[in-house]
Order: sequence, then C-alpha cells, then structure tokens
Amino acid sequence: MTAVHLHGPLDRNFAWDAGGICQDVDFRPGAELPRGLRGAMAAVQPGPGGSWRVARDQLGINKLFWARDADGSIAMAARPRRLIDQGYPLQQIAAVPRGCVVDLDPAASESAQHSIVPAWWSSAGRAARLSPEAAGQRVRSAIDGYLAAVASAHAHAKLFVCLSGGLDSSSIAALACQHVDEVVGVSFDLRRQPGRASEDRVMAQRLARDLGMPLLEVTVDEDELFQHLDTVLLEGIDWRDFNVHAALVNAALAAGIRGVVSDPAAIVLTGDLANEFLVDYHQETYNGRSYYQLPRLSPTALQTSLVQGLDTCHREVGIFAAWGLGVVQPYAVAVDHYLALPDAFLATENRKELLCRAIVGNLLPDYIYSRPKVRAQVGSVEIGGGVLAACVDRGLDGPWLRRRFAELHDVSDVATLDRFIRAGRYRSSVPSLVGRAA
Amino acid sequence: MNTALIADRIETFVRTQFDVSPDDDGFGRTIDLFELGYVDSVGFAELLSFLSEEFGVEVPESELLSDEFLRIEGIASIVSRLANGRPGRPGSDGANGFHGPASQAVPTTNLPEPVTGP
Repeated sequence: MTAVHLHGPLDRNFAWDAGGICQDVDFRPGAELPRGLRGAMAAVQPGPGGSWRVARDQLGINKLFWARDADGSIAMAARPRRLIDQGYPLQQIAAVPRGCVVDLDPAASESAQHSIVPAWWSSAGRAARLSPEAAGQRVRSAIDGYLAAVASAHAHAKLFVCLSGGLDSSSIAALACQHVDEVVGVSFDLRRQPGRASEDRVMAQRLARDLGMPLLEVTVDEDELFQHLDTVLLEGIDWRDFNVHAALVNAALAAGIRGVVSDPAAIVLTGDLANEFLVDYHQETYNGRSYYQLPRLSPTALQTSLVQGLDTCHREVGIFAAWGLGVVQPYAVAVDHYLALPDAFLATENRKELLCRAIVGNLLPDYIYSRPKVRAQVGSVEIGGGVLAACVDRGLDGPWLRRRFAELHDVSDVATLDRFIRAGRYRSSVPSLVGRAA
Repeated sequence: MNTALIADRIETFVRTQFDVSPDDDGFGRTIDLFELGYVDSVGFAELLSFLSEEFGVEVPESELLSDEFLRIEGIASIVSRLANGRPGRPGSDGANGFHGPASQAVPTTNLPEPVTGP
C-alpha cells in the first residue's frame, strides 16, 4: 500500500533555473536537489520501491500541507480544507516547510531531509550587498531569462498581466511585452459613482495604450466582490485582513478573466513580491482606526520578516487557481538580488522608483515613475475607500474574517487558529514515515 | 550562555518593546504572553527578529508554533537549544528555511550569482 496519498491537484509549478522551467522529473526521488530553482514549486513525486520525494520552493509560494494517518502513512494536499474533507482536523494539519526537500522511503528508518534555502538569506547572515544599479541589472537579467522561458514553455497559453498602473505591475507588463507576442492587461476597479474611475484604472488604461496592450477592465460592485469571500478564505488559506482584501481583488480579476477566456492553460503574470522584497508596506488608517500593522523592525529585518511571511497566505496563486488560472510572479526569480540590497537603500523613500529605473529604464513612461502609490485595497482620497473600507463598513473586520475562516475549516474554538498561523508563519513540520505500520 | 541569562535578556526585551509596567504583578516568565495579551502575532515577529539579532538563532516554525514558545522560560530554552546546536522537538530540523547561523554568511567578495543566463 502506498505510504503517501495526495488529495486533489497541486498548484502549477513555474519554478525556473537558467536551464528552463522545471519539470516533474526534476523532483523525482534520486534527482539532484533543485537548489538553483527559483519561483513557485511544490511537488509530491513517486519513485521506485514505494519511495517519494516531497518538495517546496524556497519562498513557500506554492502551498503543501500534510497530516499523518493512524497507520503512519501521510496525506498531502495543496489546501488544508482538502485534508479536512478526508477526516483530518485542522489541528493535525501542518505545512511542509518552505525550501524543504524530503525523501520518504518506507524501507528506511529515517527520512532524508534537506533545505534548499540559501543560508545567507537569513538577516543574521546577510553580509552580501549589491549596489542598487548592480541589483537592478541582475533583476532585469533574471526576469528577462524567466519570461523568455515561460513564453517558450507555454507558447500556446493565453497570457494576462495584472495591471494597476503602479510601478511593480507596470514593470512586469513592460517586460512581458518584450517577450510575448500578445499579453492582455487586466485592471480592477470597484464600482462607485457613475463615471468615476479610480486612479488605478485611468493609469492602467493610459499605460496599456502606450504599451500597445489590450486591456480587460474588470469593474465590480461590492456585492459582486463579496460573493467570493468564502472562496478567498478557503483558497487563500488566511484570515488576516490585508491578505483577504488583496485576495478579493484577485478573485474579481480571476472571475473577470474567466469571463472572456476558457483556455485551461491560461497564465496570469503579476507584480507581486516586489513589495515584500523592497519593504514597501505601510499601516493604513480608515475612519480613525489603524489597519495592516507592521512589525517595528529595521528595514533589513522587516524585509526578512515579510519575505518569510510569503510562506503563509495564498492570496495570489491560490485565488487564481480557484478559477483554473496559473500564476507567474517574475520577481520571485530575482529574490537573491533583492535580498542583497543594503539596509540604507531599503530605508530610502524613493527606493522603488530608483530600482525600477535600474530594472526597466525607459521601457516605462515618466508618469508611472512619478505616480504616488495607491493600493487597490485602500483606494484613494479623491475616489474614496477601496476594499478595506468596503469590508469594514459591512462589519467584515479582522475578528469576523477569523471566525468565518474557523467555520469554513470546521474549527469550533477560534483560539485554535493561533496555533495554525503565528508571527506570519504556518505551523509546519517535515513529513516522515517513521513509525508507519509495515 | 546559560538559559537563565537568555531569559533575562528576553524578559528585558519584552518589557521594553511591549511597554510592560514594572508594577505589573501579572507579568512573569511563566505566563502565556499571547493569551494574556502582552505580545500579539505582529509582536512575535518583532521577538523573532530580536532573537535572531541577539542570539544568532533562527527559530523554526515547529518551535514557533509550540506551546513552549508562548512563555519567556520556554523561549529561553528553545534559544539555548538552537544556539548550542542541540536537537529540538520532532520536526524542528532546520529545513524550515532562513535557518542558518551567522557564520554561514556569504562574504562580500562572493556575492550571489544571478540565477539567469544572459
């Protein structure tokens, strides 16, 4: 009898090294450890003699959870809910640690486990430093190589790029245009007073026009937005408000894309991860209350904390996957270069503009570089609140989201959730067949 | 460094960082910091960073999510184990990423190579 049971599909793998996009064979037991891979990956691969290899990417972009059966065999799934459906309570479910490769051999007394996370990524060991100019060149080189590989490996897939008109998504859109014949921009907006588009929408329209890119405009009202809330909590695997708000935007975009294309191989490019890599998050205030609180840390320590936190929450890949869409996050392959940026640079007010200029230069027009940052979740002063305000006004605040997440995962004691996510990390442990009945 | 000294430094950090009054009789090294509201989830991220910088240890998720990590005494024991290279609870294997001692830093002359071709 097999020692490992996989329930449901895994998220699509888009990890890459200089040799190309990864294949399933790269994760078979006995294959070389995929230390050079960067980007989203989770694998559960069988080998000879009942052996298995289980692996997850270094950032923890793709999710993988497991629980132990009474006979010592292992159940695995990309979502906790799928394991709950098999009879395992959330309290018994753990994530496979990010960057973990485990070889499970029923005949061996112990699992062979390896970390493919470079040791120097920890802030304590962060001696490496790159100038912003050098980092920008390396980021550009990595993303160019990656996008070319994605375009080659998925030549017939419909490609979309989330476009908010901000620096991160605009840079990815501009670079995608260099490698792909046709990529469609997708812009989110929350319907407000008739005729009033958000600044994001206006900027996306302008940039799409300048890049010669078709633009799919997804405009939803609050009811349409909130119809996805349960899907967001289940597939996004998180109840924390910032992540839920971002996931709601992605759900609307995914539904919008699926409204115009049925291609099962369709791929969405996003500008995600750059905010974590460049520590570009801020606390927000709405109606006198603070939201999206951040740890009080030095820039490099905060960068480490935010990057570690990518392991927890599936607000992009998980949400788009619910609509059968693959997600490619090009910044993921450049993580090493972002982590080598100096602390002083991470404290610079205009760091994102400086680095984006080094990455994409004049591929972007000046009006994108000079634009003040607007988050789709937060909205703007001129137009009004975004998803944050819509949620709070309806009473869908942090405690409500937490309770709903608990209900959806058959958890009666909400406090149990504090042992599922803490300090922005999932409970995790390394799968093992030790103690399995023969 | 012994566990008691580690606990001293952790207690000083928690008192300072989270504004614990010196007159607070309910505070101590054996209380549940999370349940009693002294440290929230974001605060734990600050605590993790402190442990990394102060003691050069990266706490794996299997320890972070344990009951032991909720109390200053327990945190000190975990730090002591990690700093001395002793095995932790099952599953705390060091494969959790970001889990390397400072001595594994990449020297400045050996910057990470781009993982790309051209």
